[in-house]
Amino acid sequence: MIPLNYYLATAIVLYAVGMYCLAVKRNMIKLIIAVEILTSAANLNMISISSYAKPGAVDPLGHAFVIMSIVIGACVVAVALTIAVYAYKHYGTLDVRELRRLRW
Amino acid sequence: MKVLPFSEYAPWLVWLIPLVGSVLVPIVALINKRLRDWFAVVTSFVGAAYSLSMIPQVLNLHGGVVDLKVPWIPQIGLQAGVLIDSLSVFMSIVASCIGSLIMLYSIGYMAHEEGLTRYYFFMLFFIGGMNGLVMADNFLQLFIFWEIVGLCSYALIGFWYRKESAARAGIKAFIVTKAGDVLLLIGILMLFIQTGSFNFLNTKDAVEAGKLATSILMASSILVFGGAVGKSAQFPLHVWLPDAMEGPTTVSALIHAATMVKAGVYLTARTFSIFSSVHEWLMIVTYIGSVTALMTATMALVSVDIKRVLAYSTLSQLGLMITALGVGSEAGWFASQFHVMSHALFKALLFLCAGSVMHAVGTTDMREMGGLRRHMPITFATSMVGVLALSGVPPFNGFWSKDLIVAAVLHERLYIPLILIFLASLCTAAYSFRWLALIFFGKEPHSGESAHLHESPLVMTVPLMILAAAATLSGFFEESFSEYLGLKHGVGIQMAPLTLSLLALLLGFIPSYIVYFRGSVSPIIFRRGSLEAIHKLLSEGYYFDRIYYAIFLDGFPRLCGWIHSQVEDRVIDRINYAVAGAAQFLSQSFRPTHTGNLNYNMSAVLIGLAGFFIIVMVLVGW
Repeated sequence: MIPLNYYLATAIVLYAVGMYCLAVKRNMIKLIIAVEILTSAANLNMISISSYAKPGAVDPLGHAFVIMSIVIGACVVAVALTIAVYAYKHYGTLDVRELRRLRW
Repeated sequence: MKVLPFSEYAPWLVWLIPLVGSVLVPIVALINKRLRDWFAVVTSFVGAAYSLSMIPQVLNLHGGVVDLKVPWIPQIGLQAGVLIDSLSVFMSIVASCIGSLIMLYSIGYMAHEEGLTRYYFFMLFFIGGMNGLVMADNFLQLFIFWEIVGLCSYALIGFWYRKESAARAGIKAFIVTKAGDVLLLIGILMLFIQTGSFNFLNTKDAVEAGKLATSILMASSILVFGGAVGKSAQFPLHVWLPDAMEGPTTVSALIHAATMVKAGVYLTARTFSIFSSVHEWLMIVTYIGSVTALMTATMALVSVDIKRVLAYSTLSQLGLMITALGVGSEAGWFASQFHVMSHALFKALLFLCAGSVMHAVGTTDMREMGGLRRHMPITFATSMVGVLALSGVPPFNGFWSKDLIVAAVLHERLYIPLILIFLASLCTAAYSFRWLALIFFGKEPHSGESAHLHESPLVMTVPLMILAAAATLSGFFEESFSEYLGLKHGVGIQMAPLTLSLLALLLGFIPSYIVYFRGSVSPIIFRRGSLEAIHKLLSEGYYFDRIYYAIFLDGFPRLCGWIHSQVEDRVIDRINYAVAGAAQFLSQSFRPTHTGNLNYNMSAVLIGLAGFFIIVMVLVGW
């Protein structure tokens, strides 16, 4: 059986990838992908810990939360993509630096 | 006690009819304008009929009192009620009968005015309020009607509200009397806290039983009299009444003869039985009354406005009534009430005559009048009666009542008030004959306009004739009036007061005759040399208006402005600006870090995360 630490290390790597992507990329679609990577890092973290919570058994609560998180993540992506589409229509670009009208 | 069926509801109806009628006036006005006028007049006459119907009931009482009560606010044990005794019924008759004659006169006098629905509404409301005031059996009810009367006076004095001076005069009347009203309210509440009742009779019983501390009784009696000073325009709150001449003449007649200013005299007479044991109260009442009487009579000597002379004379006559009340004897009380009736008759008459004159000549300045006796014979004859009654020529009613006042003051040996009212009567004779001479005698200043001069219509002259007849005859009913009031006071002419009254009359009449009737001495000499300063002092009304204006209209806003600039601007606003400025400075200094660039923000998240891990590692102890 693979030890828990491997899973957690994978989650940290995923988190780092997502963060790096958010900090460096300017394309809105790429940012949305980065957010999804961050979410999957969190999901992986949670499901692996719940699987190792008791010896020989799996905690169903963690699984239930992760399923819910995936569903909500799908919704978030849908909304985010809609915003991206409208932003593109409005500004003619996907560069996130252009969305600074509220800054005075 | 036998109560006539007609009179059973009369004490209520006498004020409910005008009050309800006044509310109906705007509704009737929708149907027909002429109907509205006559509706108001008929309503006031019905009210007058009800007030007269109470006379037999009062005569049956023989000076007793009936107090009819109904629950008002039972939760706190408050009762509304009407008090039927000779005083309340007498005042109600004065208010409603003279009020209804004035309403009749209004039909002719106000025929061509605008806003008559408002006028008739407030006139009826005024009469109803005054009747309610005098019929009330407790201080609280009295105070409510007291304020209704004040409101109506404000609205009617400022009837021509587009004229700035009229609007200002209305506000002035309201605010000056309000100063007295506040004192009255404090006095009423002090009595209520001490006795637990607003009722006049209960209060009187409590005072007689000695439940009140002397100091409390004295303070509350003086405060209640303060209300009367405001309403009856006594010194030092007399300044509103001359300005109240800005209203229509009918309103002046109503205020002076029937309603507003009589409320103060009524209150003093009503509370007389409660407070008469307080010696200081009597002193204050006498001195305020006699000082007012003399001071305002001298002001009337120099006024050239036809109505202002009458206004000052009202003040002076009210001063006489208050003086007589302050004498503290039954004779003084009776003299004051008798003078209320005389004054109501001749002053209503004089005002309506003045209205008739103004209707014809279209000015209020007496210097532009003269020689009107040929053009307006009825007005002249009735004015003559009014002037003779006002100056106290026998056998007109003013003579009898003034004689009683002088006799009462003399009997109590109050020599300073006696001198003051003697001089006041002297001035009264002088200014009233001057008034008559300037208007009806002498040459006509503008001979070309005399063709337009005409006698007033019958609807105006009939009330004049009724009032003139009453002013001539009412003096002879002294004995029956005394009997009506239920007094055992013996009336009759005594030598000393009679001599004094006639001496004052003669001394006042002679200079007036020489200067204004004969014209052998020009009135200009009164404005020359050392007399000029006195003339100026009198025509400025002893500078009371100037002082009040300087204090309350200029001084007080200036004080407020100073406080505003010193406290508001310098302290309070500065604190606010300092707080706001600090917050702004703080946010401005953080502003450069907020670039709005997502990448920077995320980098900051990473740095923060790294910092968090470092802190955790340090704490865990790696």
